Amino acid sequence: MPPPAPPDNPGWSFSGAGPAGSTPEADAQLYLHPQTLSRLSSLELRAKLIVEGVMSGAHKSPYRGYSVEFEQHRPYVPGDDLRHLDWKVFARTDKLHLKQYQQETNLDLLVLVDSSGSMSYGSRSFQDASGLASPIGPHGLEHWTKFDHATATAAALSYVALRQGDRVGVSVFADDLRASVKRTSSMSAWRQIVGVLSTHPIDRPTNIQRVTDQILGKLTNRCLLVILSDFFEDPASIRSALARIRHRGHDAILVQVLDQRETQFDLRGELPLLGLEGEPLVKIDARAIRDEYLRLFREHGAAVEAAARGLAFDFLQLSTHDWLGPPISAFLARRASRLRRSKQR
Amino acid sequence: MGVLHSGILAAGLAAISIPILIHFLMRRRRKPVQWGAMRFVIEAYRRTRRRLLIERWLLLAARCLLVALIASALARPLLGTLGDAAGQSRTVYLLIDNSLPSQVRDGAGGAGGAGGLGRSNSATALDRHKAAARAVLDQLRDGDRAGLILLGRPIDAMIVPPSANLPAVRGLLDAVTPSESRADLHAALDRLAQDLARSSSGSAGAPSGPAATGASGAAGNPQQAAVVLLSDLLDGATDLTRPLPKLPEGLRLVWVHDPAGFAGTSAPNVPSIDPADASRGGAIDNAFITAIRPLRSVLITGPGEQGQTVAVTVARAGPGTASRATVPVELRLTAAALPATSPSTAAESRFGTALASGSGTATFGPGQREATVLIPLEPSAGASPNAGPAAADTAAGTTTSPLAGASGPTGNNAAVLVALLPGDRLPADDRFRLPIELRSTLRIGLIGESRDRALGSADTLRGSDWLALALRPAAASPLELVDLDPAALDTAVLAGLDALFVTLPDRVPEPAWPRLASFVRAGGLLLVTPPAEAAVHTWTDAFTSGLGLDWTIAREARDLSTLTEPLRLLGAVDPDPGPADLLAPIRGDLGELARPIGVLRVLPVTRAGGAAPAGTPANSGVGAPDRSTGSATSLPGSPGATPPAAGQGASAASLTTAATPLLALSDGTVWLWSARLPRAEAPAANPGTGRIAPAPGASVDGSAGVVLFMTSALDLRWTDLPAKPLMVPLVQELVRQGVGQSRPAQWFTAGQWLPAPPQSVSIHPLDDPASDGAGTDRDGSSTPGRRGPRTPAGAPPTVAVDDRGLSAEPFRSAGLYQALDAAGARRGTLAVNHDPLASRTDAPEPAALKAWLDAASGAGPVIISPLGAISVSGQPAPSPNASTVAAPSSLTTLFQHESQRSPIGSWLILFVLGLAIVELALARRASHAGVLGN
Repeated sequence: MPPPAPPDNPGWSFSGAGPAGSTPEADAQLYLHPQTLSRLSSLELRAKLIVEGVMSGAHKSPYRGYSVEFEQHRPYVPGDDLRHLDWKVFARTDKLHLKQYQQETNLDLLVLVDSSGSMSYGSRSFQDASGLASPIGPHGLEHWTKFDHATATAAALSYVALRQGDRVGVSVFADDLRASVKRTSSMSAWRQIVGVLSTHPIDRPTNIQRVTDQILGKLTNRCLLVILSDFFEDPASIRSALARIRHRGHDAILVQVLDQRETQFDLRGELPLLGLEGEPLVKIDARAIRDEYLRLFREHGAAVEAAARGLAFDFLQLSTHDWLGPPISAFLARRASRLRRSKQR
Repeated sequence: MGVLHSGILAAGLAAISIPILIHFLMRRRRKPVQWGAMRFVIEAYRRTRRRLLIERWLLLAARCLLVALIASALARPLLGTLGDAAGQSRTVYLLIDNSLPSQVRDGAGGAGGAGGLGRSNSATALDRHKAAARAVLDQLRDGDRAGLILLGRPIDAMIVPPSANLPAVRGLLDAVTPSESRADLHAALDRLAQDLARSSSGSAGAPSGPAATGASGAAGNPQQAAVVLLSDLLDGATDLTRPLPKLPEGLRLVWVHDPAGFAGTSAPNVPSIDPADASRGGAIDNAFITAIRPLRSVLITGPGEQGQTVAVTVARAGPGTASRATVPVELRLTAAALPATSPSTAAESRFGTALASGSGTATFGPGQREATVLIPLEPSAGASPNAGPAAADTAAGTTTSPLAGASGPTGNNAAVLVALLPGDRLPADDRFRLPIELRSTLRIGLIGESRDRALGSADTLRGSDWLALALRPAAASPLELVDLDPAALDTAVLAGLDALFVTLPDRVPEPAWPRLASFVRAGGLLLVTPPAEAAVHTWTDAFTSGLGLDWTIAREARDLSTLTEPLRLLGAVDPDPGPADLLAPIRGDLGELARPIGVLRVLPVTRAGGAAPAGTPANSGVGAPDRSTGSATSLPGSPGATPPAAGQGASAASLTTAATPLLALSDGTVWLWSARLPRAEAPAANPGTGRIAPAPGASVDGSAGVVLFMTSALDLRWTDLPAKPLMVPLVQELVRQGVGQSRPAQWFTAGQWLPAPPQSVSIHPLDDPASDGAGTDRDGSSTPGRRGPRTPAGAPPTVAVDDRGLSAEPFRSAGLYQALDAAGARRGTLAVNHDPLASRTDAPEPAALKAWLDAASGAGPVIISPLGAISVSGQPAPSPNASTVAAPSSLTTLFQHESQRSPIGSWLILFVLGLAIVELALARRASHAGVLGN
């Protein structure tokens, strides 16, 4: 596949690679540009391409193994899993003790993708995003939506994790869980993940609090939750959901996917705006309310970010016009820091 | 507050809809746009909705107000008091003087000295006024209005209220003709104020007259209205002693006049607007006729009659009055022409021919303004005696009147006396017409002693004998005497008489006296003398009550023979009784003729309710009623007079009896009484003046005929008058003057409603014998191929007579008119002459004239605008003979001034500019154009 024409403004950069460099690494990063991704009809291909683009500048060998190290014994209490009984200690001391291990196995990654109605918004035409002549994308839509951007990112993260032996689970939600793939480290689950992500947003609002409760009820070990959403919800609800995640000892990365027009609100004239989540039709003078809109928008974004940062979660903001490198880079950085903390213990 | 351009204002107000339309068009339906971050949009919209709504409506209001203010500023609003929508335009009231002085022709040097006014030699002042009026109309724009009032009395408000149809105004202006009446500026201004008050109040019942003159209200805005007076304002058109009514506040008076005057000697292109400048010089020398006074108003043409002598009064005006001058006067007696509707007979075909003529010269001394010349009438060459009784007399070789044959075969026809002056600058007043009745005979009835006997000595002659001798002193006499039976006095008999002499009133039955009263009222002459033989005069009660006289006549004669010195007749009581004097022809000799006459017995008369002391005139004119209702007054010289009995002489009818003592005795006792009976009904008032139409020489009050009462019987036992030389001229003049005064020669001044003779239903113009017969019309224009008299120019063709006996329309043009009854028969000839007061062509004192006009202007002093040399187009007049007349230059200035008087226009513009800035700021804010940075 010929490399696409380099974009004028990649919009982001990360360590070790410049967006406009002439090195092969720099060229590989072009795979992360939405213009490249949107050319691919298959989400699977998109994810692989993203991963290739990220890994080519990050690791020499992504297949570095991890072992399970013994940490301590503790007395058995009824209800413990009998599989962790140390039969050798029972034989020597005639006492039941359980073996406890330092969990340094592969990361459990849980990717949550928002498929609410607001995620179906996209101002960038597919024709512009892909550079192709056809105005209609492979999924039948005219615009490169936030959901397209989020699913591509989710697929890429999943692929990276699977390739490193981590367990990966994926869920698609709106005001409820719509579809999920249980965590697994088998590459064979990759197809399932792609299948779950290959869906469309629905005309429902987001309810992170409920979805979080549903997710956390199923988790028994600590996970890294990557939530891809526009987070157009009450910041208090988001904060509450994140607090629960933190309370359960999980880590999280919040990736807010926005459209550039939403962040700039460069509409003109009097327009009737129709909400995508069942909101009523509102006639507005775009320029008249722009300041107020942007002020509210930024306040909301700041509140969500503050909620995340306050709980020591990462917060990333992606634009549908931006490349996909930042979330993957953030994911990898987060994974490395966790491993370092585990070793220090 | 009004505006100058109402159309612009209307268009501007309509343009207010433009921003409103744009406002709503901008809210047109557009395709909904899907939006993800709707929660922020809704919240932002909720927070900004109220502010945006206020901004939007404020912007719309500012834009609408801006458009309205721009429209108002362009419409030139005027601060004022009126807001009449019809008055947003300019209004000009043209007051055009078409009175008699407007017929003054320009001077002989008109071709070169007209001051660039485009005059021709034949142009009149009215032509100049009309041309100036057209120039004023040319200054008006579409939407402006013009009114037109002609000042010739009675004023003709041709276009009031003013009309916006300026072409129609021009058309009516072209049709304006001159009148021979005076100008009535007072009535015009009153009419104007009335119209303005009506237009301001919007109701038809607006006050009129002086009360309305203060009304503030023009047809629209008084500050955008002007009254343009087009007149030369000579003495004949002004009355400086009578203040003009003041125009409404803000309505300015503009007097457009010719600074060069009529002389045409002022330098052209140098208009002077200073009225004190003597060069205004409107005065011209003008001679005019003020009256014709024939010796008798009924001209008897029968055998034995002498020629008629006519007194013609000529006046003059102008700067030349200071010098001596002579004016030749020509007099014509012309048969009146018949109307076309009248049947043509051989006898009537003589109408229109000249019957007699004469000439004289009026001589004026230095400073003398009026002179009277006596002109004897001589038969014309064309007046052949070919008809009537005069022809028979001629054949018989008897003495024939010089005017014999003038009357028709019926012996009763009309003629017209016409006096002419040589033509001057104002020819309209150089002619004067007076209808006069031609009679071949007068028929006189006699109720007296029988005359069927041979006349003996003087002692045997009775009163009837003496009267017969006095009435027909010669065989050839136009007076025909008829003996009547007093028992057979019916209406038919009386209708055939001109006069009735009663020497035996005691034989007249009592019921016959009311019939005799009707006879007198119809114009008959009644002479009553006491019966010579009666010792007690019981007939007097029937006489006075039957005739309605407020007299008390003694029943017994007063014997004067016992006096040591018999009383003598001392002639006329009134030394100057006026034109209605029955004894006028013999007045000069009356004192000498009456002195030797002795009176032995009289039947004294006491008059109740009268106030006519002996020796003083009861009335300066004829027929003026004495309406005093005081107690009975004993006449001086009636020593035995007693107050009237109750119910006698104090009746309602008798209160209006007009009695005039004609002859008196040396002790003051009235010997011969003249009385006019009260009319059955009051004469109609003239609608134009509110007064009875003046007809010089006409009896306007009292009966047409006269009752004469001689207090002595015509018997030598009562008086020796029958044997004295006075007897014949006295009786003759009493008959002729009495009959003549019952048919007075009436003429009317132009400008009033004519009182038509009884039974008339219409008045028709007649060919005017006053025209020179050489094809020259009154206005001096010559029509080739046309000769003979002309009908009055501008005269109404036929005017109906209303129920009051007045013409339905006023007559402003001089000329001859004929009244016809329903059958088309002639009922009388009416002469309308110019108003002599209008002929005064002196120029009023300039300062007084300006003050007079200033008092009328409602906005500062009068603007005196010359007919300057500035043409309408702003270019100098190309030549003095140009067809156009320069517009009054200051008239345009007037309206410019008026428009500049409104300071609100400038303030509005400033306010508009300020509001535009505010609107820009509001629009900028409402558009949020800087939000996106582009």
